[in-house]
Amino acid sequence: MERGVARVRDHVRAEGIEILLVEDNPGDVYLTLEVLRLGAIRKHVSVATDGEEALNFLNRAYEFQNAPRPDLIILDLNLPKLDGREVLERIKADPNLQQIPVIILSTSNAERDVIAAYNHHANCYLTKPTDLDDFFELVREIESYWLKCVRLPAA
Amino acid sequence: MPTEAPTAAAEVLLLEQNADEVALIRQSAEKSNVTVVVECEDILSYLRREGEYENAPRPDLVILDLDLSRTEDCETLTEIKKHPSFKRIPVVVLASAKSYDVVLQAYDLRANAYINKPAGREEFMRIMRATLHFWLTLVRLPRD
Amino acid sequence: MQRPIEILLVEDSPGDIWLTREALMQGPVPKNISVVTNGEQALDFVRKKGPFTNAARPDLVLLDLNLPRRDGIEVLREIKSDPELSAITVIVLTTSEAPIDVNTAYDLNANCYVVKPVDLEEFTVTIRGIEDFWMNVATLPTAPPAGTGEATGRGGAGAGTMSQGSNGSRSSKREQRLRAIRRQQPWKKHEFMRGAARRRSGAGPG
Repeated sequence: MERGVARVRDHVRAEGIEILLVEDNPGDVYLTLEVLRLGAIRKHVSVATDGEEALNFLNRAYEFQNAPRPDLIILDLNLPKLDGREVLERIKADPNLQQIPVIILSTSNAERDVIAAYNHHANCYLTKPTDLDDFFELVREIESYWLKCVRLPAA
Repeated sequence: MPTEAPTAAAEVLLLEQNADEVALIRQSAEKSNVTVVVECEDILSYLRREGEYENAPRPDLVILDLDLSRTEDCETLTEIKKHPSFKRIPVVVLASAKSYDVVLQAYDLRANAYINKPAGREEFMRIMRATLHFWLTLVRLPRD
Repeated sequence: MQRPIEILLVEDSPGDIWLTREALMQGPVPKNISVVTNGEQALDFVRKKGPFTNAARPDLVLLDLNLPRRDGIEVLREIKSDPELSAITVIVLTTSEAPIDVNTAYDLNANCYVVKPVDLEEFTVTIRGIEDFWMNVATLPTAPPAGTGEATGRGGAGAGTMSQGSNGSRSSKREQRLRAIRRQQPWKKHEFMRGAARRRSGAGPG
């Protein structure tokens, strides 16, 4: 565990881990940010509230010329403008972006959504619990697994 | 990303026969354009863009002061809410209902909201301001 | 004494459930808030079926469009095409700004359509605006009339009470902590997203 943490730190830039949260529901954005903010790992979270914005951010297009490259993407499926499923497909089809781990965090627990996500190379699929406390726990676990245990690819 | 166009003043179409109330509503409306008609017939002509109303702008909100005990008033509301071109425009009904059945009737006829007309001027203005603020600022209105 | 307004919140996102309830509970009108998290439950609730045989008839339904198991548009269509239910006031409260969603909702006789603001403070203001209009100005078809001698500022300091549909709540320590955090640190949209915040704010036909 110690070694795992040290390895992650080697690759962490001064500002910490860059996370892109793609989520349209304002309450869920708030909660996720709050829980991540409380976590010990140093991090910086950008928020995109629709699929189009997410892709522009990742491609550093329009007003996102200086957007940081995320180390990790947390992606909701039901998004305005461009659906999260589309966003996932495009990320994983793009040789520049496909290494970035994408965690699906969605209220949908439909089997077809889960299968489709993995078919499009989502790194993992998490169902958002409707209970507040459970949601908190889940985001804490995302931090402890993806930010502490897992080694993220170098930017 | 496309820049936002400046928002034009909202268009409010008002069916109101009482000149006093018209004045109070205009005052409450501030920057919005309020078009007033007096007859039920004219409301329908306006929305259908018939005759003198050929170039009338599409209203963002319709306010109808109705007497729902009159058949013509009920039919006007029904007609507005049936017509494919403008049934989606929000309609607020103002009335002085003596009985609760009238409230239910307005909603059954597909009014978006029913407001009971208060007696006092100040209260009337407060109600109208709150109504216009809600519908023209907080609500997302339909488009053609 | 005015009876509490019965509100049915149809929403699956935990954060938005929390935010909406918080904002409603801060409002002065006494209210009961029930929550269902999918379209099927919403219909069972209004039809008093299944676990909802004793459900109160809602005075107001706040309806998200993105729902599992029968989406919001279907729920809206079902409610507004059923003569038993069509008088119920349905406010679409959703993140989608797509004109097709807005127009379809109004065509299906939604009472109004409100886009959830991205900004936390604006969100609260919007919910309070919904309360002000629908519980203090308009007369709801299912609730006793306002302005008929009863004070329009009903019930003084009574905050909303909570009853839950299917997902049973408790005012947990987490909720209390969230409220405390929120008072100190209003969430600001990330610097890179300023463009989106500008686009999303402001309503009207634009």
